[in-house]
Amino acid sequence: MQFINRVLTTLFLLVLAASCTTYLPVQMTPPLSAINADGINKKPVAIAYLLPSVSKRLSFNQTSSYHYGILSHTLKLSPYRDSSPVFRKVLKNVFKEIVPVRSVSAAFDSSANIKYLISISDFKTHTTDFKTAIGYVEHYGQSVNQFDISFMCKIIDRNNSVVWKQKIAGYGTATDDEIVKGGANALAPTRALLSAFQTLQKKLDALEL
Amino acid sequence: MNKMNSFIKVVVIFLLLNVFGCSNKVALYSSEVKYSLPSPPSANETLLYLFREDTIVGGAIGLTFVADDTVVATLSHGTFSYVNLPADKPYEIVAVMNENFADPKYHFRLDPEPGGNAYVMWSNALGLRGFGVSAIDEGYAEKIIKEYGYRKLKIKGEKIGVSYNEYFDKLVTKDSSIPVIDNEKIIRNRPLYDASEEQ
Repeated sequence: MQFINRVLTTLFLLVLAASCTTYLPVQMTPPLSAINADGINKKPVAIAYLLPSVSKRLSFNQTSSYHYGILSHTLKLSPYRDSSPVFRKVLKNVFKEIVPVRSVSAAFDSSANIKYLISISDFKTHTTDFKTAIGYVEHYGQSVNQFDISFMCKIIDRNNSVVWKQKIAGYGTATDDEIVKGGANALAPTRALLSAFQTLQKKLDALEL
Repeated sequence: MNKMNSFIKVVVIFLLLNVFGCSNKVALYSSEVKYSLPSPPSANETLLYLFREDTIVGGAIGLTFVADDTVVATLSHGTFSYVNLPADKPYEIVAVMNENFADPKYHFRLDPEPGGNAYVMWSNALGLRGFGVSAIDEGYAEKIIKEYGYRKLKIKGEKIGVSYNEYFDKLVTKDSSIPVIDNEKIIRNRPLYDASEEQ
């Protein structure tokens, strides 16, 4: 009887813990106004960019290592979807003509002018810092105060040869005061993604093609 | 035993507050009507569907969706609405609880899809879909459109006088000129505002 009680209690606690797991959908699309073309000389190059709809649906979960009591928090991130507008904006700032394509082969079939194809991939995040924000537990559980993100950016030519490849990284922070103003858990990730794309724009601007 | 009774009372009060405890003006601003399929959006528009998760927890909270500076839906739990938005700019879609426009913590940046549809949902902490406003896929949206009620706004194009696009842009970029949101002013200026409610 005691054994059955223990099993039932364990099952109850497991179900309770699972039911208390919160999923925090974090959208980190940066404001496009923060990516300006000041000081950029547009390259007289037409370039295709690969950000297919399939990639937009990719997402990965970042599970917090911290648990508030029995609550656990999982960040749901969609880096491909969220970076799509800002990637387009960076390319528009740097290149004379940009053409969205859904596949590598389509890039070079679509126009004779297209000599290069640029793509981003392999999004990663390593140091999600959850801080217990007692005052905001009701709404946020915990606040994300630091966030880093990185991705690979690659340019290939018509022969499928890699002409440029770099890891681009960004880092963002958010204070509890900013979080309570409405930034919520997306603020540090948004700033991290913005910082990464500002870096990408600088690197592409300095690139000789 | 007394401690046990107190604990039970606290739990009951908490549950009642969650389910019934909040004021709600959903019926004032929108009404549930029969849904009919809208015309497809033009090439310069995005047809945005807005859903509120069907859960009784916090079910009495009034939820208002604002797209940048315009009220686009007022929903009770398990209902949805739609709006055509010009696809010329991204929109900060904010889910405001109980007319507290100064607390825009549930928000989603919509990248418009010219000539296409977009679907966003507000879900609460206990829902497995997540906590806040997030995009949902078309297949799931089509499924719940058949199950949820459709609420139509009584007044279309209501402006709140604050641009959430500007607010969040400046918050992200740490711009010190971030707009101050005067909630009382916004509520007083709402078309169906009733001063007698303040008595």
